[in-house]
Amino acid sequence: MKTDDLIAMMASDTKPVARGSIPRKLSLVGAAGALVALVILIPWLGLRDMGLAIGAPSYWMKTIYTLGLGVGGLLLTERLARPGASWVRGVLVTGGVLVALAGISIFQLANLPSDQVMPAVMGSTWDKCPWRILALSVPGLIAVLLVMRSFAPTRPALAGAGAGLFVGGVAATIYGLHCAETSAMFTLIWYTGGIAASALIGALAGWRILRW
Amino acid sequence: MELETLDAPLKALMLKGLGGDAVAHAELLSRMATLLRRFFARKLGASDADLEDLVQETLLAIHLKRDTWDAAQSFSGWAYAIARYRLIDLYRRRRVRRSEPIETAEALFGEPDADPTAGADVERLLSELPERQRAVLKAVKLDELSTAEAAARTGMSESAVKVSVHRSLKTLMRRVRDEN
Repeated sequence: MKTDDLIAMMASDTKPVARGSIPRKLSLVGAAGALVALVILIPWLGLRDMGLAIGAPSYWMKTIYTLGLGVGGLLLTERLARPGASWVRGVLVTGGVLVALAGISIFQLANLPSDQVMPAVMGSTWDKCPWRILALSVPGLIAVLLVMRSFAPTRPALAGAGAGLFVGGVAATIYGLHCAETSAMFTLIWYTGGIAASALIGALAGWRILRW
Repeated sequence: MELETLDAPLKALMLKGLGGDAVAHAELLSRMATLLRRFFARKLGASDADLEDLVQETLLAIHLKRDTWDAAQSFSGWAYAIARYRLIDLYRRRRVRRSEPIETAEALFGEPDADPTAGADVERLLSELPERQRAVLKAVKLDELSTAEAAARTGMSESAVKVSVHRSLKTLMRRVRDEN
Protein backbone atom coordinates (compact mmCIF):
# COMPACT_ATOMS: atom_id res chain seq x y z
CA MET A 1 0.00 0.00 0.00
CA LYS A 2 1.17 3.50 -0.72
CA THR A 3 1.97 5.74 2.20
CA ASP A 4 -0.42 8.41 0.91
CA ASP A 5 -3.28 5.90 0.99
CA LEU A 6 -2.41 4.94 4.53
CA ILE A 7 -2.38 8.61 5.50
CA ALA A 8 -5.82 9.11 3.93
CA MET A 9 -7.02 6.11 5.88
CA MET A 10 -5.69 7.50 9.16
CA ALA A 11 -7.07 10.97 8.42
CA SER A 12 -10.54 9.49 8.14
CA ASP A 13 -9.98 8.06 11.61
CA THR A 14 -9.44 11.53 13.15
CA LYS A 15 -11.52 11.89 16.27
CA PRO A 16 -11.14 14.43 19.04
CA VAL A 17 -8.74 12.97 21.60
CA ALA A 18 -9.37 13.51 25.31
CA ARG A 19 -6.54 15.27 27.11
CA GLY A 20 -4.94 13.96 30.24
CA SER A 21 -6.07 10.37 29.76
CA ILE A 22 -2.74 8.95 31.00
CA PRO A 23 -2.72 10.56 34.48
CA ARG A 24 -6.45 9.86 34.79
CA LYS A 25 -6.15 6.17 33.97
CA LEU A 26 -3.09 5.73 36.18
CA SER A 27 -4.79 7.42 39.14
CA LEU A 28 -7.79 5.16 38.69
CA VAL A 29 -5.53 2.12 38.68
CA GLY A 30 -3.83 3.38 41.86
CA ALA A 31 -7.18 3.86 43.60
CA ALA A 32 -8.47 0.47 42.46
CA GLY A 33 -5.20 -1.20 43.51
CA ALA A 34 -5.50 0.36 46.97
CA LEU A 35 -9.08 -0.80 47.31
CA VAL A 36 -8.35 -4.38 46.26
CA ALA A 37 -5.31 -4.52 48.57
CA LEU A 38 -7.54 -3.32 51.43
CA VAL A 39 -10.19 -5.93 50.65
CA ILE A 40 -7.48 -8.60 50.77
CA LEU A 41 -5.79 -7.20 53.88
CA ILE A 42 -8.84 -7.03 56.16
CA PRO A 43 -9.80 -10.73 56.15
CA TRP A 44 -6.18 -11.88 55.74
CA LEU A 45 -4.28 -9.92 58.39
CA GLY A 46 -6.81 -7.51 59.88
CA LEU A 47 -6.35 -3.84 60.72
CA ARG A 48 -4.26 -2.58 63.62
CA ASP A 49 -5.87 -0.38 66.28
CA MET A 50 -6.38 2.63 64.01
CA GLY A 51 -7.40 4.93 66.88
CA LEU A 52 -3.94 4.37 68.34
CA ALA A 53 -2.25 4.56 64.94
CA ILE A 54 -3.47 8.00 63.92
CA GLY A 55 -2.05 9.48 67.13
CA ALA A 56 1.36 7.84 66.55
CA PRO A 57 4.07 9.78 64.66
CA SER A 58 5.58 6.47 63.50
CA TYR A 59 2.35 5.61 61.65
CA TRP A 60 2.45 8.90 59.76
CA MET A 61 6.15 8.55 59.05
CA LYS A 62 5.57 5.18 57.42
CA THR A 63 2.48 6.36 55.57
CA ILE A 64 4.14 9.50 54.21
CA TYR A 65 7.17 7.45 53.17
CA THR A 66 5.25 4.75 51.29
CA LEU A 67 2.87 7.29 49.74
CA GLY A 68 5.91 9.35 48.73
CA LEU A 69 7.43 6.38 46.93
CA GLY A 70 4.06 5.72 45.30
CA VAL A 71 3.91 9.32 44.08
CA GLY A 72 7.49 9.07 42.78
CA GLY A 73 6.48 5.90 40.95
CA LEU A 74 3.35 7.54 39.56
CA LEU A 75 5.37 10.50 38.23
CA LEU A 76 7.87 8.11 36.64
CA THR A 77 5.18 5.94 35.10
CA GLU A 78 3.21 8.87 33.74
CA ARG A 79 6.33 10.22 31.95
CA LEU A 80 7.68 6.86 30.81
CA ALA A 81 4.31 6.12 29.21
CA ARG A 82 5.09 8.92 26.73
CA PRO A 83 7.82 8.80 24.08
CA GLY A 84 10.51 11.43 24.57
CA ALA A 85 9.22 12.82 27.88
CA SER A 86 11.63 13.77 30.68
CA TRP A 87 11.31 11.60 33.79
CA VAL A 88 13.74 13.46 36.02
CA ARG A 89 11.06 14.66 38.43
CA GLY A 90 9.99 11.15 39.38
CA VAL A 91 13.60 10.20 40.10
CA LEU A 92 14.08 13.31 42.27
CA VAL A 93 10.90 12.68 44.29
CA THR A 94 11.75 8.99 44.79
CA GLY A 95 15.36 9.78 45.70
CA GLY A 96 14.29 12.61 48.03
CA VAL A 97 11.84 10.39 49.90
CA LEU A 98 14.47 7.64 50.30
CA VAL A 99 17.14 10.07 51.52
CA ALA A 100 14.73 11.69 53.99
CA LEU A 101 13.81 8.37 55.61
CA ALA A 102 17.46 7.26 55.61
CA GLY A 103 18.28 10.45 57.54
CA ILE A 104 15.53 9.81 60.10
CA SER A 105 16.63 6.16 60.44
CA ILE A 106 20.25 7.05 61.16
CA PHE A 107 19.21 9.73 63.63
CA GLN A 108 16.92 7.28 65.46
CA LEU A 109 19.52 4.50 65.65
CA ALA A 110 22.24 6.89 66.76
CA ASN A 111 20.11 7.82 69.75
CA LEU A 112 19.34 4.24 70.81
CA PRO A 113 21.34 2.21 73.36
CA SER A 114 23.38 -0.35 71.43
CA ASP A 115 21.37 -3.33 72.66
CA GLN A 116 18.20 -1.88 71.15
CA VAL A 117 19.60 -1.28 67.68
CA MET A 118 19.05 -4.77 66.32
CA PRO A 119 15.44 -5.02 67.61
CA ALA A 120 14.73 -1.66 65.92
CA VAL A 121 16.18 -2.86 62.62
CA MET A 122 14.53 -6.27 62.57
CA GLY A 123 11.29 -5.54 64.44
CA SER A 124 9.23 -8.68 64.96
CA THR A 125 7.96 -9.12 61.41
CA TRP A 126 11.00 -8.49 59.20
CA ASP A 127 10.67 -11.89 57.54
CA LYS A 128 7.00 -11.36 56.64
CA CYS A 129 6.76 -7.67 55.80
CA PRO A 130 8.33 -7.55 52.30
CA TRP A 131 6.46 -10.63 51.10
CA ARG A 132 3.14 -9.34 52.33
CA ILE A 133 3.69 -5.98 50.63
CA LEU A 134 4.63 -7.76 47.43
CA ALA A 135 1.53 -9.97 47.64
CA LEU A 136 -0.72 -6.94 48.18
CA SER A 137 0.84 -5.19 45.19
CA VAL A 138 0.14 -8.02 42.72
CA PRO A 139 -3.43 -7.02 41.71
CA GLY A 140 -2.34 -3.41 41.15
CA LEU A 141 0.73 -4.57 39.25
CA ILE A 142 -1.34 -6.60 36.82
CA ALA A 143 -3.76 -3.70 36.31
CA VAL A 144 -1.10 -1.04 35.83
CA LEU A 145 0.85 -3.15 33.31
CA LEU A 146 -2.31 -3.81 31.32
CA VAL A 147 -3.09 -0.09 31.25
CA MET A 148 0.50 0.73 30.28
CA ARG A 149 0.18 -1.52 27.24
CA SER A 150 -2.23 0.99 25.70
CA PHE A 151 0.35 3.79 26.10
CA ALA A 152 3.67 4.08 24.29
CA PRO A 153 6.60 3.33 26.61
CA THR A 154 9.84 3.45 24.61
CA ARG A 155 11.80 2.10 27.61
CA PRO A 156 9.65 -0.91 28.50
CA ALA A 157 11.73 -2.26 31.40
CA LEU A 158 12.11 1.13 33.06
CA ALA A 159 8.44 1.92 32.55
CA GLY A 160 7.58 -1.43 34.16
CA ALA A 161 9.86 -0.63 37.10
CA GLY A 162 8.17 2.75 37.56
CA ALA A 163 4.77 1.08 37.45
CA GLY A 164 5.91 -1.48 40.05
CA LEU A 165 7.21 1.30 42.30
CA PHE A 166 3.88 3.10 41.97
CA VAL A 167 1.64 0.17 42.91
CA GLY A 168 4.21 -1.12 45.44
CA GLY A 169 4.05 2.22 47.27
CA VAL A 170 0.27 2.06 47.28
CA ALA A 171 0.25 -1.56 48.55
CA ALA A 172 2.77 -0.74 51.29
CA THR A 173 0.58 2.17 52.41
CA ILE A 174 -2.34 -0.25 52.77
CA TYR A 175 -0.10 -2.74 54.61
CA GLY A 176 0.67 0.08 57.06
CA LEU A 177 -2.96 -0.19 58.19
CA HIS A 178 -2.07 -3.60 59.62
CA CYS A 179 1.61 -3.40 60.54
CA ALA A 180 2.39 -1.92 63.97
CA GLU A 181 6.18 -1.69 63.55
CA THR A 182 7.42 1.73 64.60
CA SER A 183 11.08 2.12 63.69
CA ALA A 184 12.29 4.13 60.70
CA MET A 185 15.11 1.73 59.86
CA PHE A 186 12.66 -1.16 59.82
CA THR A 187 10.56 0.76 57.30
CA LEU A 188 13.59 1.76 55.27
CA ILE A 189 14.82 -1.81 54.90
CA TRP A 190 11.77 -4.07 54.88
CA TYR A 191 9.04 -1.86 53.44
CA THR A 192 11.44 -0.66 50.78
CA GLY A 193 12.38 -4.29 50.14
CA GLY A 194 8.77 -5.20 49.37
CA ILE A 195 8.28 -2.14 47.17
CA ALA A 196 11.57 -2.81 45.37
CA ALA A 197 10.49 -6.40 44.71
CA SER A 198 7.33 -5.04 43.11
CA ALA A 199 9.42 -2.67 40.98
CA LEU A 200 11.74 -5.50 39.96
CA ILE A 201 8.86 -7.73 38.87
CA GLY A 202 7.40 -4.73 37.05
CA ALA A 203 10.69 -4.25 35.22
CA LEU A 204 10.91 -7.90 34.16
CA ALA A 205 7.28 -8.02 33.08
CA GLY A 206 7.56 -4.64 31.35
CA TRP A 207 10.55 -5.81 29.36
CA ARG A 208 8.47 -8.72 28.13
CA ILE A 209 5.01 -7.25 27.60
CA LEU A 210 5.32 -3.47 27.24
CA ARG A 211 6.99 -3.62 23.83
CA TRP A 212 4.94 -2.39 20.95
CA MET B 1 17.09 26.90 12.38
CA GLU B 2 16.17 26.53 16.03
CA LEU B 3 14.38 23.31 16.95
CA GLU B 4 11.54 25.32 18.46
CA THR B 5 10.96 27.15 15.19
CA LEU B 6 10.88 23.83 13.32
CA ASP B 7 8.63 22.29 15.92
CA ALA B 8 6.02 25.05 16.13
CA PRO B 9 4.09 24.36 12.87
CA LEU B 10 4.01 20.60 13.56
CA LYS B 11 2.80 21.23 17.07
CA ALA B 12 0.04 23.52 15.78
CA LEU B 13 -1.11 20.83 13.33
CA MET B 14 -1.01 18.19 16.05
CA LEU B 15 -3.14 20.33 18.37
CA LYS B 16 -5.73 20.83 15.63
CA GLY B 17 -5.69 17.13 14.79
CA LEU B 18 -6.22 16.22 18.45
CA GLY B 19 -9.23 18.52 18.39
CA GLY B 20 -10.69 16.43 15.55
CA ASP B 21 -9.50 18.42 12.51
CA ALA B 22 -8.93 15.70 9.88
CA VAL B 23 -7.35 18.07 7.32
CA ALA B 24 -4.72 19.25 9.78
CA HIS B 25 -4.11 15.67 10.86
CA ALA B 26 -3.57 14.52 7.27
CA GLU B 27 -1.21 17.45 6.69
CA LEU B 28 0.77 16.54 9.80
CA LEU B 29 1.04 12.92 8.76
CA SER B 30 2.22 13.71 5.26
CA ARG B 31 4.82 16.17 6.54
CA MET B 32 5.95 13.51 8.99
CA ALA B 33 6.12 10.96 6.16
CA THR B 34 8.61 13.20 4.32
CA LEU B 35 10.68 13.84 7.45
CA LEU B 36 10.66 10.18 8.46
CA ARG B 37 11.63 9.01 4.98
CA ARG B 38 14.64 11.34 5.07
CA PHE B 39 15.54 10.35 8.63
CA PHE B 40 15.37 6.61 7.98
CA ALA B 41 17.16 7.00 4.64
CA ARG B 42 20.09 8.59 6.46
CA LYS B 43 20.17 5.65 8.88
CA LEU B 44 19.51 2.74 6.51
CA GLY B 45 20.48 4.07 3.11
CA ALA B 46 17.99 5.46 0.61
CA SER B 47 17.44 2.17 -1.22
CA ASP B 48 16.83 0.00 1.83
CA ALA B 49 13.95 -2.40 1.21
CA ASP B 50 12.44 -1.81 4.65
CA LEU B 51 12.52 1.98 4.40
CA GLU B 52 8.91 2.60 3.44
CA ASP B 53 7.58 -0.11 5.76
CA LEU B 54 9.36 1.63 8.60
CA VAL B 55 7.86 4.98 7.58
CA GLN B 56 4.39 3.43 7.56
CA GLU B 57 4.82 1.65 10.90
CA THR B 58 6.00 4.89 12.49
CA LEU B 59 3.09 6.84 11.02
CA LEU B 60 0.68 4.22 12.37
CA ALA B 61 2.21 4.62 15.82
CA ILE B 62 2.05 8.42 15.60
CA HIS B 63 -1.61 8.15 14.68
CA LEU B 64 -2.73 5.47 17.13
CA LYS B 65 -0.60 6.60 20.08
CA ARG B 66 -1.30 10.31 19.68
CA ASP B 67 -3.04 10.46 23.06
CA THR B 68 0.40 9.89 24.67
CA TRP B 69 1.66 13.27 23.45
CA ASP B 70 1.57 15.94 26.12
CA ALA B 71 0.98 19.47 24.81
CA ALA B 72 3.66 20.66 27.24
CA GLN B 73 6.16 18.45 25.36
CA SER B 74 7.82 19.31 22.07
CA PHE B 75 6.10 17.49 19.23
CA SER B 76 9.33 16.60 17.44
CA GLY B 77 10.84 15.17 20.62
CA TRP B 78 7.86 12.87 20.93
CA ALA B 79 7.84 11.89 17.24
CA TYR B 80 11.61 11.39 17.19
CA ALA B 81 11.40 9.04 20.19
CA ILE B 82 8.79 6.96 18.35
CA ALA B 83 10.84 6.90 15.12
CA ARG B 84 13.97 5.89 17.02
CA TYR B 85 12.05 3.17 18.86
CA ARG B 86 10.77 1.73 15.56
CA LEU B 87 14.26 1.92 14.04
CA ILE B 88 15.86 0.09 16.95
CA ASP B 89 13.09 -2.48 16.69
CA LEU B 90 13.97 -3.01 13.04
CA TYR B 91 17.66 -3.51 13.93
CA ARG B 92 16.58 -6.06 16.51
CA ARG B 93 14.43 -7.93 14.02
CA ARG B 94 17.28 -7.97 11.52
CA ARG B 95 19.65 -9.46 14.05
CA VAL B 96 17.15 -12.23 14.56
CA ARG B 97 16.51 -13.01 10.91
CA ARG B 98 19.81 -12.50 9.21
CA SER B 99 19.43 -15.53 6.95
CA GLU B 100 18.58 -15.43 3.25
CA PRO B 101 16.32 -17.96 1.54
CA ILE B 102 17.97 -19.84 -1.34
CA GLU B 103 16.47 -18.70 -4.64
CA THR B 104 17.11 -19.58 -8.24
CA ALA B 105 19.42 -17.55 -10.44
CA GLU B 106 16.40 -15.75 -11.90
CA ALA B 107 16.29 -13.77 -8.66
CA LEU B 108 19.17 -11.77 -10.11
CA PHE B 109 16.85 -10.45 -12.80
CA GLY B 110 14.09 -9.34 -10.42
CA GLU B 111 11.37 -6.90 -11.39
CA PRO B 112 12.44 -3.28 -11.21
CA ASP B 113 11.32 -1.65 -7.99
CA ALA B 114 7.78 -0.44 -8.18
CA ASP B 115 6.67 2.79 -6.54
CA PRO B 116 9.22 3.57 -3.81
CA THR B 117 6.47 4.97 -1.58
CA ALA B 118 4.65 1.66 -1.58
CA GLY B 119 5.13 -0.42 1.57
CA ALA B 120 4.84 -4.19 1.43
CA ASP B 121 4.10 -5.02 5.05
CA VAL B 122 0.93 -3.02 5.52
CA GLU B 123 -0.36 -4.24 2.16
CA ARG B 124 0.18 -7.84 3.15
CA LEU B 125 -1.32 -7.37 6.61
CA LEU B 126 -4.32 -5.65 5.07
CA SER B 127 -4.94 -8.69 2.91
CA GLU B 128 -5.23 -10.76 6.09
CA LEU B 129 -8.01 -8.61 7.56
CA PRO B 130 -11.56 -9.97 7.69
CA GLU B 131 -13.42 -9.48 4.41
CA ARG B 132 -15.85 -6.91 5.77
CA GLN B 133 -13.15 -4.66 7.22
CA ARG B 134 -11.21 -4.89 3.98
CA ALA B 135 -14.19 -3.85 1.91
CA VAL B 136 -14.70 -0.80 4.09
CA LEU B 137 -11.04 0.16 3.95
CA LYS B 138 -10.95 -0.20 0.22
CA ALA B 139 -13.98 2.01 -0.18
CA VAL B 140 -12.82 4.71 2.23
CA LYS B 141 -9.17 4.85 1.41
CA LEU B 142 -8.23 3.51 -1.94
CA ASP B 143 -11.29 4.76 -3.79
CA GLU B 144 -11.21 8.00 -1.78
CA LEU B 145 -14.84 7.97 -0.79
CA SER B 146 -15.97 9.87 2.29
CA THR B 147 -17.04 7.76 5.26
CA ALA B 148 -20.66 8.62 4.37
CA GLU B 149 -20.24 7.35 0.79
CA ALA B 150 -18.45 4.26 2.01
CA ALA B 151 -21.30 3.64 4.41
CA ALA B 152 -23.79 3.85 1.54
CA ARG B 153 -21.75 1.47 -0.60
CA THR B 154 -21.13 -1.16 2.05
CA GLY B 155 -24.58 -0.90 3.62
CA MET B 156 -23.16 -0.06 7.04
CA SER B 157 -23.93 2.99 9.15
CA GLU B 158 -21.39 5.81 9.00
CA SER B 159 -20.36 5.30 12.61
CA ALA B 160 -19.90 1.58 11.97
CA VAL B 161 -17.59 2.49 9.06
CA LYS B 162 -15.55 4.74 11.34
CA VAL B 163 -15.29 2.08 14.02
CA SER B 164 -14.25 -0.44 11.39
CA VAL B 165 -11.47 1.82 10.07
CA HIS B 166 -10.17 2.45 13.56
CA ARG B 167 -10.20 -1.26 14.36
CA SER B 168 -8.37 -2.10 11.18
CA LEU B 169 -5.62 0.40 11.96
CA LYS B 170 -5.24 -1.04 15.45
CA THR B 171 -5.12 -4.54 14.03
CA LEU B 172 -2.40 -3.48 11.61
CA MET B 173 -0.30 -2.10 14.40
CA ARG B 174 -0.82 -5.15 16.59
CA ARG B 175 0.23 -7.37 13.70
CA VAL B 176 3.38 -5.35 13.19
CA ARG B 177 4.21 -5.88 16.86
CA ASP B 178 3.36 -9.57 16.92
CA GLU B 179 5.46 -10.26 13.85
CA ASN B 180 8.44 -8.68 15.52
